[in-house]
Amino acid sequence: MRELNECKAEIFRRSENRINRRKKNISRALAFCVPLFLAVTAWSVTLLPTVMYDGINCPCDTDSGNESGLKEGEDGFRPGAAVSADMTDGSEPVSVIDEVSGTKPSESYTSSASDYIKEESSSPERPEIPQPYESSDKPDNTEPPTEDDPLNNFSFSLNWGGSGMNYYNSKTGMLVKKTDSATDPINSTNCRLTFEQTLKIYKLISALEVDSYPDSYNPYGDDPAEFPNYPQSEPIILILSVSCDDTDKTVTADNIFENCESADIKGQAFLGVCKAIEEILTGTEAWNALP
Amino acid sequence: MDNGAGSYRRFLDGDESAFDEIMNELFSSLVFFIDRYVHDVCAAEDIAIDVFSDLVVHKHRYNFKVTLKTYLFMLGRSRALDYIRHRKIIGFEELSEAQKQPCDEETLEEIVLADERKRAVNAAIAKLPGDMRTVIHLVYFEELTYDEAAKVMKKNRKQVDNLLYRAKKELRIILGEDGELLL
Repeated sequence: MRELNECKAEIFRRSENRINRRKKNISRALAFCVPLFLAVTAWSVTLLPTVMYDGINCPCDTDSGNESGLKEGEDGFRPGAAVSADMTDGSEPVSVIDEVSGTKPSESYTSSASDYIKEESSSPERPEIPQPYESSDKPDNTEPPTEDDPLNNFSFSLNWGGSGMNYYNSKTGMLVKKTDSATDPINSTNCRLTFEQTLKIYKLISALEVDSYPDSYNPYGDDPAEFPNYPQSEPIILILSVSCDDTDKTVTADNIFENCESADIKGQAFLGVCKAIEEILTGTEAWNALP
Repeated sequence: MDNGAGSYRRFLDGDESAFDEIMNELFSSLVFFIDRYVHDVCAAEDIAIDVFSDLVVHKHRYNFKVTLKTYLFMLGRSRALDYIRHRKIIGFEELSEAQKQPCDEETLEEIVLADERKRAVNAAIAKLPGDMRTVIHLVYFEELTYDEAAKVMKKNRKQVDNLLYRAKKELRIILGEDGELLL
């Protein structure tokens, strides 16, 4: 048996050891828990919003986020930038025109417009186009236009066709189908495009930079005879008039042939935009209701 | 007499000499009590040292609702049972300690049981079953109340009462005619 003093010394020695061991355990636990907590916090702060954002703005959902599917901060109105961001699956990039019109690139002269846009995007000397919107105040497609909306001051008209002339004027809403004259009220109806349709057309025309075209424009060049695939079919006429703010511009293109592509990039763009607008118009209920 | 609670309060206030008072008052009793379980004075002493170091390490675990003696005996019993459980698994005994044990036990008995009457009863208690041995020890040797003994043994007062009754009955048989006088 130990003396009482020895026992007391042993008690305090063991107590000290236990206190030290406990402190060491606490500091060890803290050394593990604090970095873990910080790592989890940092992870949740940095990664979680990104994950949630990706979840909300799913790339396959074309209705969410940016209407044209463009990346954040990119200019949605430049022809070069008008390429969809939906390229992560390795598929071919889809141009705004293709998205808007819903046509395949191989169809008619729309393919020319797509090619034009692709070439333009890679071209170092891409012309700067005046921006109708700042990037921060792009129009929200889900809301109707307000009083300050540039769409309020935007109108257009398009004539297209051969012997019979189709016509649409967004200002009056008059839609005419295959008549001899635009003033002939036969086979005409009143058609108001939806906000989304108007916005799509506005984007297309903004990307086209209409002011740079002459009033009378031949997308096949000055000498049609030299054009390699010059077809011998019935020609059609395209007359595109755009009115935005105080600026009016009308571009008339005669002797246009179906399935005939322009060699010129600007010509491809012009034909593509006209084709896209035409498809929007011919897709409306009012058009289908006409005989 | 507060069975060391006042001394412990003074120790918590920083009076180191108060711990000596607690040691003098309770350490040997605790070792003797634990020895009833473990039947090994050295192990009992070791366990008692651990119990007292608990008082130093976890200073605010004791809440003064029971006497310090009761609290220490509760800890001692708990640790003694742990030790027995552990010893069953390990199952070893050093020869030198086994030889030393009777001598140490006699010394401890001399320290704790100065009273001749208690010594005689203590010899008879060794023949009792576990719980009866403990309750007799707590009530007659440590002079704890029935409630305190019940707390130490984790039983209720009625169980302690019954155990004590049966333990005394057994002791009478063991001690014979002398037992009547001693009890």
